[in-house]
Amino acid sequence: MINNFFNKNVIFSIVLLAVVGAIVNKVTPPYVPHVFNMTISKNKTSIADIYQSRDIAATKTVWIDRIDLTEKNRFRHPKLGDLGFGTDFFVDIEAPFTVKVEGSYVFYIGSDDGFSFSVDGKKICDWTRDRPLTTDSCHIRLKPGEHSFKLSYFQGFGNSGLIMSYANTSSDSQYLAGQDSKFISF
Amino acid sequence: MSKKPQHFLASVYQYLLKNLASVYQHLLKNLVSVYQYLLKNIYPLILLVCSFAIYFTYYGSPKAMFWDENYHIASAQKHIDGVMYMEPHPPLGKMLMALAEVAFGDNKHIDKQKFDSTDYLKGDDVSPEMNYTGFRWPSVVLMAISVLFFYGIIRRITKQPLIALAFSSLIIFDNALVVHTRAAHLDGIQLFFMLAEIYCFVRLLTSGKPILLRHYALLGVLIGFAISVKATGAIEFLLLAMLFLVDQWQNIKHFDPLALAKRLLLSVPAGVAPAALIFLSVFYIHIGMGTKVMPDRTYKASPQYLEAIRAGNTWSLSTFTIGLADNLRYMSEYADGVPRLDECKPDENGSFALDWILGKKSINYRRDSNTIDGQVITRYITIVVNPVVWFSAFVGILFSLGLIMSKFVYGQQEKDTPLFYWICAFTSLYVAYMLAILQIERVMYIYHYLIPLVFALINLALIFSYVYREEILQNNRHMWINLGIFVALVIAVFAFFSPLTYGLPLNEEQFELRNWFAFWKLQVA
Repeated sequence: MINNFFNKNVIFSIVLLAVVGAIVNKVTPPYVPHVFNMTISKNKTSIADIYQSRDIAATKTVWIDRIDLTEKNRFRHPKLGDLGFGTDFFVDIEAPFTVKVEGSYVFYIGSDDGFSFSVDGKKICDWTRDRPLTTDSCHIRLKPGEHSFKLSYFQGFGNSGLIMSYANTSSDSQYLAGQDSKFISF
Repeated sequence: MSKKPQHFLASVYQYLLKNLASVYQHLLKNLVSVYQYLLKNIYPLILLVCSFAIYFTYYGSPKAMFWDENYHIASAQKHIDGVMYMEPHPPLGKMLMALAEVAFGDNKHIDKQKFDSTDYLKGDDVSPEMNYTGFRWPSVVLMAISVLFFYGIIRRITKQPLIALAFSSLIIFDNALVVHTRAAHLDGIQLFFMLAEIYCFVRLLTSGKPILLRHYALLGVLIGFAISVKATGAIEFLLLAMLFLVDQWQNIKHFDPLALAKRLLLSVPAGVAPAALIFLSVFYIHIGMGTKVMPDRTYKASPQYLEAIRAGNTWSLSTFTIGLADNLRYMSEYADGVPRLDECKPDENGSFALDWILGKKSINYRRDSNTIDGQVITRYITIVVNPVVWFSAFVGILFSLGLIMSKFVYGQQEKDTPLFYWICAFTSLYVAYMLAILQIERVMYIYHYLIPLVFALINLALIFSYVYREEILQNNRHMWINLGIFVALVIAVFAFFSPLTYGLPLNEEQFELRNWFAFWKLQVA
């Protein structure tokens, strides 16, 4: 019975079906939940400082689910692939978040190159110049309720990457920005 | 009296019946022959229409040179202007480009003086008004026609027109073949001659007639044309060896060394001499036409050769002898000077021969970016493979190697002996080419795989016919549906990658959707 079913034609059909499936998977644009709307701006001149005046040549916006853009030492999302412009670009992410538990929070921001991070309009920490991927800890006490953050980043040349996570100091767990927890939701 | 009309009517009825039957039979016979005629000719016609549609879409675009066009157009123009030059490749391809430029080119108003004083044209050397249809004509047209040889090869071996039609679509709808050969490149011209050789070879062996010395000569002539375009065409000297094997199979089986040696003494010159004659004739014309020497562009030519040119003595045999030696020496020195593959180099376009099988690595021939409403839109001319075509071709080779091993290692009996040996022939050509290429130390590029790809595609059709022999004979519907879906996939994937083939505008996201495999090393603008 099985031998009759698995003849050459059926096997060829299965192979074709698998190929069609693989092709459909390749040609379907990748989708991630829309959590952060990220603006990426290509600068006309080279960037050496996060606060330098911008001279924008081109801008694009991309929805991402998590701020985890360090794959292969590039500004690259695990599903969406390369997102930046290669060299000399700024990235801005402004987003609301809800604090569920009052307490001390640490935002870990890894960047290659510089960044600036503020919560509710108040600057918490920054690294203004270029550097290899290095993580800063940014401490803040937050009350329950609605808040917002702004994360700005720049890539000059060479390797690039940006990653942001958070933790409540009363807990050992660390979560990626975009990942809801019992402490914060986005 | 009363029976007479009845008798008459019966006779008329019988007469009509008899003649109607013959008219009907005649009509039926004609219909069958019309159908057979159509079947025989409609498929090649369909293929030719498809092929011309693919190759002539956006013909002449981009209106700028890319990849080796910068070299070949400069060389072709030197033929038109009668300027002596030397090049790493034999001159036939450039001669045909020059001929087409004179016949169809639309550049009479363009100042092309710079073309004669350089071997590599930069963008600034060429007027923006320059039209490329003439120089690109031989490669485009010959490659478009080549599909007929491809079809003919498969049809003659398998005796299945529909199988030949289906598999011929693979050579039409491959992005790498199309992007590389719809330009002023040599490979399309060379593939035309190579497919002509293979068709000739297959025709000789499937005609059922005895193999004569003039058949070796005919094959030699075609090989001569192929190697006069690019030296890699020499791989098809193997066809002469195969022809000899078939020709002398009885003497080989019965081990008659005397008969074999006698035939060898006749057949080798019969095949090689015409090839050499064509090759030398092409160089004779090339050397004869080079009547001017541009200042500082002597290509290390010997003083005797330069003197002969200045004396206007380029068509003499003595000049030919010196000129040929100088040209061959230049080709050899040039090949020695080409750098080796360096994969650590960030802008390395070359790749390792075994990586070509899966399409590594693509080459960005040209890209023109524009920012529209803050979005970067780029027109890419990139050699990227149709993965369905290339991967299938490789799977076909794996199947063939398995089949060959099953016979010669495991002693399995083949189910279709002639087809089995045809599979052996094309697998051998493929393996021989790859082994030869692996011996070359200089950097090589993915388009050097186009020749073995053609061998592998012919082989794919044959191995399919072998595996599905019974289903084809039974006209199995499931098999035909599968094959139809396969061809549809080939065409659909070609269409998906066609923006990279024809230089259609893409934004970054659209480009990334086509970046299927990291090992292709496609690079976004």
